[in-house]
Amino acid sequence: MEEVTCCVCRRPVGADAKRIGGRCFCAYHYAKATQERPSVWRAGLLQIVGLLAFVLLVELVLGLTDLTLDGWPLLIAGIVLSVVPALLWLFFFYQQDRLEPEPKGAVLGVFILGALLAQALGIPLVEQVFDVRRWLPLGTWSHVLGSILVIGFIQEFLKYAAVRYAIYPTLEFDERVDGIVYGTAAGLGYAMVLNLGYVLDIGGVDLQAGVIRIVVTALAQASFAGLSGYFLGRAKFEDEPVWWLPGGLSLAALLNGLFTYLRGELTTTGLTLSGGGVNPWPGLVLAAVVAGATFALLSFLIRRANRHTLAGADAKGSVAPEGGV
Amino acid sequence: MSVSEGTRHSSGVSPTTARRRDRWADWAVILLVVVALGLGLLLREMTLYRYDAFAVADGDISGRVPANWLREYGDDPLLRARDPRSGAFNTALLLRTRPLAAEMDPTLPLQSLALERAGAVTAYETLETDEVAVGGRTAIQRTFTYVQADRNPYVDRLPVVVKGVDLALQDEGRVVIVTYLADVDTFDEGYRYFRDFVESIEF
Repeated sequence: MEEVTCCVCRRPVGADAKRIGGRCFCAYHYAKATQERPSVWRAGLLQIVGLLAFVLLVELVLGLTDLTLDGWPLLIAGIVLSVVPALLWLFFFYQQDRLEPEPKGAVLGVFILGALLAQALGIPLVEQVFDVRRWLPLGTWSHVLGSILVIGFIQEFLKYAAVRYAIYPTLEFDERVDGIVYGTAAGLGYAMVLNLGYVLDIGGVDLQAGVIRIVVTALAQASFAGLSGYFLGRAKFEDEPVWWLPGGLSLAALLNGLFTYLRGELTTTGLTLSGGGVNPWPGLVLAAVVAGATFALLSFLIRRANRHTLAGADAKGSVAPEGGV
Repeated sequence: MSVSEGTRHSSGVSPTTARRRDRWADWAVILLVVVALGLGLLLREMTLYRYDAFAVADGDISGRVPANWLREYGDDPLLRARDPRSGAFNTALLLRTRPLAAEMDPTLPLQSLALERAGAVTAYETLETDEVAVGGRTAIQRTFTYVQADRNPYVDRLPVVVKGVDLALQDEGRVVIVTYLADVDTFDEGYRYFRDFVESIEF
């Protein structure tokens, strides 16, 4: 007869083990898997508000001081701005998550892995192999479909892979919400490299437009990676069908592609005598709405799943643990 | 055996089945990404290499030209198609004819074209002349380069090094010349348009 083991720590748990779907848990990991983590949602909300405040602050400083940078100072300012979204999230996350924090090494590792995958595979695939700049703008349908099939799937798969093949099989991934936490970390790593590439490619950045672009990229990448992370979190601790993970990745890629297309459409303006060509503000509004809606939806879904699990356990007369064991 | 069920799912699959399902899900994700990227590649090919039919010289010469390119028809050249998105120097395909008696050397029209160009552009240089096979017949192909400088005093733009190919296809009493011109940096990128254009021409 097959030995019954906890699906997280692989320790033998006996025949009366707690289960979620077909997966058995020891008491400790059952409690962890169904644990509420309001700190994650608070950190996500603070991140969105913090990034919007960061944009307004930079715009205010630039407006009041008439600051103009060029050469090395501009490049360094661009690099610093690229790193700020990730630092802000880490700050908020660990500030909110002081009681039972995720291991810093694991979060940082996934963040760095997301960044490395972006630099080693993501950007070369999108920019060189598929050379999207040459053909995406040639038609509306090619733009929409190409954004989904190429940009969406490449970016979302690499962020998904950073979580799935690095942290997901380990003991650190022991809560449903961990998929969102580590997905967000991978997304911010990916976004940081995209932003650094943008800044370095043009040898600096127009600070006013640049800070908005950097924040938009960070919000979008974090949101979509959080979404596929949600599917990973459910897949590890529940009895989900085979299509669950491909479905989650497809949804993230679809939203990523549609966002890429819409951002391009919303931020591109006609040329006028006073210049222009790009107005980044609508992109920021879109990114904030997408990030807010995504995190609100994920928060609702995770809480609902935890409620269902605990209610099911209560109905069966088993102990529904509160907090860690 | 009493097992507490702590969820709305109650299928109660064994851990082995769950692990097997995880593996299938992993493969399904990889398959999905491969299919998506394959479709992306197909979409890229269909978008970049979409062609429209054209006919010039009262329908005597016909073929296919890139769909997203701008087209101008005239006497010489008969057709000029250019890619408006290809940077400071627009990648272009030109089609022209020159009379040629049966006993004449087919490279003569190319030499005459080279002389015309050498007088009109800066630093014109012929790189190589080869015999190539096109659709079962022999053609002469000449590669050249020159510098294209914008002489407009109000335009602040660096000169562009242009690389080009003339391909002379011999016909009865004439030679059909196809020319491909591109910025030297994007020459290889657009070469497929030239190849497809040449392969599509019928006269």
